[in-house]
Amino acid sequence: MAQEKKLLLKLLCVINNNYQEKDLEELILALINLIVPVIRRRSGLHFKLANYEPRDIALLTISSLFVKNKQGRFPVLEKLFNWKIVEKFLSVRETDFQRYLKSILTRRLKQTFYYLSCEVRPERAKIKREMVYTLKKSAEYRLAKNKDKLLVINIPENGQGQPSEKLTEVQADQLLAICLDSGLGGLQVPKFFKKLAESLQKENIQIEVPVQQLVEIYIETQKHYLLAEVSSSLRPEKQLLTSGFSDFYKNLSIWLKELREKNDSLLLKYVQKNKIEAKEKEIYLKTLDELIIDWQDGGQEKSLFDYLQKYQPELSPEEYRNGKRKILEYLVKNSRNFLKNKLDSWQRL
Amino acid sequence: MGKSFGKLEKKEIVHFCNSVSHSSDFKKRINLYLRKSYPSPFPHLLGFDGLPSFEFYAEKVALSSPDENYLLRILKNNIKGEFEAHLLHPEKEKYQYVFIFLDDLKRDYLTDSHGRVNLGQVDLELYQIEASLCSPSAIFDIKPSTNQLPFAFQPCFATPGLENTELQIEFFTDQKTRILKAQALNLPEEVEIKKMALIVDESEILLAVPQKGLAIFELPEKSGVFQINFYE
Repeated sequence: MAQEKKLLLKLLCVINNNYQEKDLEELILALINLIVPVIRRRSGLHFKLANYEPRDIALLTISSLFVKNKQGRFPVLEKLFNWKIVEKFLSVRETDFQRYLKSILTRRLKQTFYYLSCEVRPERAKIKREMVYTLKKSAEYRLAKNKDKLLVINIPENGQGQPSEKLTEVQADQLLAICLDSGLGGLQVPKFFKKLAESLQKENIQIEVPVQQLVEIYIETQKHYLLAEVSSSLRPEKQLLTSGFSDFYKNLSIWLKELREKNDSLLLKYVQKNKIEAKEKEIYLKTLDELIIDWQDGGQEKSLFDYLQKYQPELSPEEYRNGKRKILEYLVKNSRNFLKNKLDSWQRL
Repeated sequence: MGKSFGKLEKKEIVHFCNSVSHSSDFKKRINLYLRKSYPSPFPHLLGFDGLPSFEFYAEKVALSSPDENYLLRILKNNIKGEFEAHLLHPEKEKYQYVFIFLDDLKRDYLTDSHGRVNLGQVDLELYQIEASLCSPSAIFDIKPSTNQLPFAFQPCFATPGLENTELQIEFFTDQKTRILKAQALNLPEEVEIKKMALIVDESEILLAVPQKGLAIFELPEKSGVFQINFYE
């Protein structure tokens, strides 16, 4: 029997609640095998930095399907694969079932990425919050709810009658082009929207796009701006190509590994000299890991004390000032210099 | 189907499957022991032959924990062939929503808010029962909110070592479904949350196997007050 048919029968056993553990194991394994390659293709550097391996994302995506209720059944799985669907697929071609399964898993995966976005990319959540706050206060924009999306609407008021064009979700590229042409890079959120409203008014263009898309457009604009800044600071003849960036990310992961080892051995010396307790070593390392992730994702978000306190909740400000502050500040300074030197030497190459 | 899956370790999958199916490998499991039952000192049934003896209708056994704080009574309805279990403890956190594991059945059951669980018609040898239990390590009461921003909650009950643990929750909407993302924060290094239970309005219970302390629940249509329990 072909794999898909087998899988379908196992699914049938599970949703009918007459399965053996082996059925469940094989079903989960098959689903994971289907999803892992997609995750490897889609999860970017942010996920790696946030300590999420493809297997974590796969298990998280799959586990949301296997949430059990009081009766020992799997309501989410049963909703996606009810008996009507399973019956239909038992009588059609196996490729159709495979396609359906893949589309379900890809959609669930997309949802998992979305649910994790706040954690993986805290800066995005922060930008979104700031954006909603700015737009609510702004007279040029209006927020409206459409189904499950929050739309941002801007209608130019220049007395020239109807706007010549309306940009919606599908014309996001055009809106990005307007942002880039208007030089909106490097601007804080309130100023960005003020200038964007001016540009839209000048061009007599109306927009109606989801907030989430505006977040992406804002980030893309800032990325382009930063890339332009970096490339202009390098030798003029040297263009930063995509391959250059992939080299950079490869190097970055090596530098971060080296840095961790360096900090680890330094902290070990502190333990040997009784400057810190053995259990504190891991706390400092975790604090530094989190700080370094934030450096790469928009910068330090809070005070060093707050970073350390997250992993040592009982830490009081007095205790911090008395001994730990000096150590942490030294480690941070060293780490920053290490990365700065590595970056300088990479740029010189 | 059983082919290689890259870096993903098979034992991880097996562990996940075990947790999903029935037999979670709880670290904080308490074994229960059968208690001897003595004949009633009141021979009120003797000579009273209008009704058959109690055993005709039902049989019962009692199990207790080594410290005798937990008492689990298992009743067998001889007419219907059904089993029911009642867990007793002086503290409600220790009998409400507790996993009871019966070795013979190789599966676990979750008690309700009264410490009761209906085992149904199962193949169980009443006087040779071997059982254990796992009560919640941390309990969080969640106030429903429409706000999408993440909120952190302190536990209303926590076993020693988990007092500083927090639960961060975030709501999402997917078409008509409300999604709840629950993430355990500040967990001690050695602690692993094996199961997370979402109790909605004391009636609907959803059980998830969290990954890295994170679980995603699809909420029932009408949901009011939540409680989330962690099990180690």
